[in-house]
This record gives sequence, C-alpha cells and structure tokens, in this order.
Amino acid sequence: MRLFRSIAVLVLLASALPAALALVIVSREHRRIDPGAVTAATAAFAVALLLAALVARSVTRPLGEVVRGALEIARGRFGREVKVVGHNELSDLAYTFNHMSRELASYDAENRQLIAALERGYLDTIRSLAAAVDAKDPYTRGHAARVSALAVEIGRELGLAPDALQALEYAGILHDIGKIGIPDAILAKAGVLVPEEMALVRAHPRIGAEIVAGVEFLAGAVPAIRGHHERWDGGGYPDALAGEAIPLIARIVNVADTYDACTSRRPYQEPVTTGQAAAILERLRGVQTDPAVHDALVRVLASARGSPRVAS
Amino acid sequence: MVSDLLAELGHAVVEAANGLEAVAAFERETPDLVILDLLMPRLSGLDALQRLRGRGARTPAVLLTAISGGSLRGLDGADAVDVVLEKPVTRRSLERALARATQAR
Repeated sequence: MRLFRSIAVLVLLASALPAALALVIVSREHRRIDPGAVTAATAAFAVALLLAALVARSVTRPLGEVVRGALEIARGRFGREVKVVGHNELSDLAYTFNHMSRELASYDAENRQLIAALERGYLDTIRSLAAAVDAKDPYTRGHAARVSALAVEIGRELGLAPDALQALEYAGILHDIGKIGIPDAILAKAGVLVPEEMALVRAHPRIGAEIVAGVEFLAGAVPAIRGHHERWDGGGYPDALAGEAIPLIARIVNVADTYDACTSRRPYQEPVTTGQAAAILERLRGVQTDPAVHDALVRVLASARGSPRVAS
Repeated sequence: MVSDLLAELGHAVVEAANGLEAVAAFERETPDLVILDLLMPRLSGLDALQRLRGRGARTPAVLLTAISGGSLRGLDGADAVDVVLEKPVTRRSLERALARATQAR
C-alpha cells in the first residue's frame, strides 16, 4: 500500500500540476475565475487521478501476487505459481518465482521418496533381525509378525498416537530378539527347564532391550521389549513391576504375545481353539494382563470375526 | 524453437531436457558452442556452465533467458557467459549472439 501511495502521488503531481498551472494563468489574464477553465482543470484532475491509480495498481498488483505466492511456499505449498503478465522487471520476478517454486516442489518430492525408502530400509532391517530369532526356533515362525500386527490393532483400539503405534509395530517384531543369546537346545526343549535354564530364558527381555538400546529409531520400542514379560500382579520379570508401573506398550505386547502363544503350537503345548484361548486369557485378566488391554483385545478379536476379510 | 532456428542456419544441434543432461551431452558431444537456458530444472544454466568451465572447457557460451540481462549482473558464474541472449529469440538476434560468442573466444 505504501508503494501504491507513493506512485499514485507522483503520477498525480506530474499530470495534475500543468492543469492547475494553466488554471492560474487563465484566471490572471481574465482577472476573474473562468468557469470553463475550472471545468477543464477539474476534468484534467479527474483523468490524472484515474491514471495515477491505474499506474500504481499495475506495479503493486503483480508484487502482491508474488508476496502471496512466497507466503504459500513458506507454508510448505511448493509448486504454487503466480500469473506472469507483460514483459518487464515485474514479470521477470514472477517468472523466476515460478521456476523457484517448481524446483522446490521437485526437491520436496525427491526428499519424500528418499525418506520413504529409508523407512522401508529400517523396517526390512528389523524384520531380518527378527528372522534371525525365528530361524533359531521353528515353533515361533511368524510369531513376531503376528504379535506385531495384533499389538498395533490393540493400540489402535485404545486410541494410541501414531508414534506409539509405530513403537508397537517395532516392539512386536523385536520383542523376543533377546532369545538370540539362548542356546537352541533350551528353546526347543519340551520338558521342564532346570533353574539355570529358566534363568537364561528369563534373561531374554533384558538382553533384547540391550541389543536394541543403541538404535535411535527403535528407542520407543525398548520399554516394550524389556517389559513384555512383566505381570499386572507384579509377579513378572525382569523388573517385577506391577500395574501401571509397567509401560503401556509393554502391557499391550504382553497380551498380544500371550494370545499368539495360546493359539500356536509350542514344544510344551498343542495349540488351543479360539474359544479355549479366550477362556485362558479371561483367567489371566487382571492377574497377568492389564484388564483394559485385555478388553481391547476382546473387542479387536470380535470385530475381526465380524469383518468380511476374516469371514471369507 | 531455438534449435529449429539453429538447424535452419545450418548447425547440427544436440538437445538436453535439463541442466544435468546438458552437462552429460556436452561431454559426450564436445560441441563448438553451447547455448544454456538460465532457468532449467535440476541444474541452472549458470551452474551447468560453471561445471563445464571447471572441467577446462573453453567453448563459447550463450546464456538464453526470459528475464532481462541486467538482472544477471553480479550473479555467481555470470562471468563465464560470453553472450546473454534474451527471449523472445529471433533469427537476427540469434545470428548476432552466435557471431559475438565465437569472436569472444
């Protein structure tokens, strides 16, 4: 608006001044104010006013367009273009602006692709880590992926934020990663474990958390890996935490892990039916598992049964 | 458009879609003269020319631009340009730019 005013005043002065001067000279010669001259001067002034506004607008309007375009780009809307009118320094500005905007949009698209590729790489890496554990223990094949998917479903049912769901996905895949340090003979043993063997098995949440601790993007999953064998009543390991002192994502992985353990074949047990599993889990509710998380699992299973995807 | 004019003037033309391709095409073809648009995707005409000069190319260079040549003064790499050719390009302006660029080197 300031530039508009300056240009308008300049143009007005330049074009209205001669008319005013002519009016003064004519009035002096005739020794009176000539109504005809006043009309002519007024008309000249009006034309000058219109001209001033038009000239000022022709400069400030394209500038305003570019300012609005720059603001849109600052808000992350790359690729926004402004209208190029005429062929002067102002159209040069608009033209260059549009080129910049297109280049920003293409850099942005490139970066997004790179980020997506990195994230896929991350996920592939942790899947291959989990596959290393799966390979040791034929009974757990696919277990990590199933626990991961179920834990994310329960988390969604409980209304968790996207970053917590991401942590659940990673934690589900990696929750047993610590078993990598346990001899195969113990993992596959069908009989009762002696105390030393039991101590080794019970070390796996702690070992898993230590393995993953150094990886920044998995930091959110560490509490769930360490805490997935804690019990609601405080009788779990490795920290014997109880109730809400156990991280929520650890309670969720615990429930998903328990459900999958019941419904799949283990060296020490045959898989049970879904109905029997529900009965077993019901007995654990509020003893081993968080009642709220247990109820969320029940709702997830109910809606999965009802959905056409599972029914077909 | 410019390449059509160049062909009419009897020159063999190799085209490139962006700055990076222009540099690659230059190294493949080693032309007698290079015409670069200022605003190209991926690599601007000035940056492309700087790369060519950095690799020792003494080839005459014409910078094609839709904005007035005066705005280029003081830009990084503007010294490497022999002639600035403003759009819209006519047969006459192109001929003159080619003559001045070849004299300059």
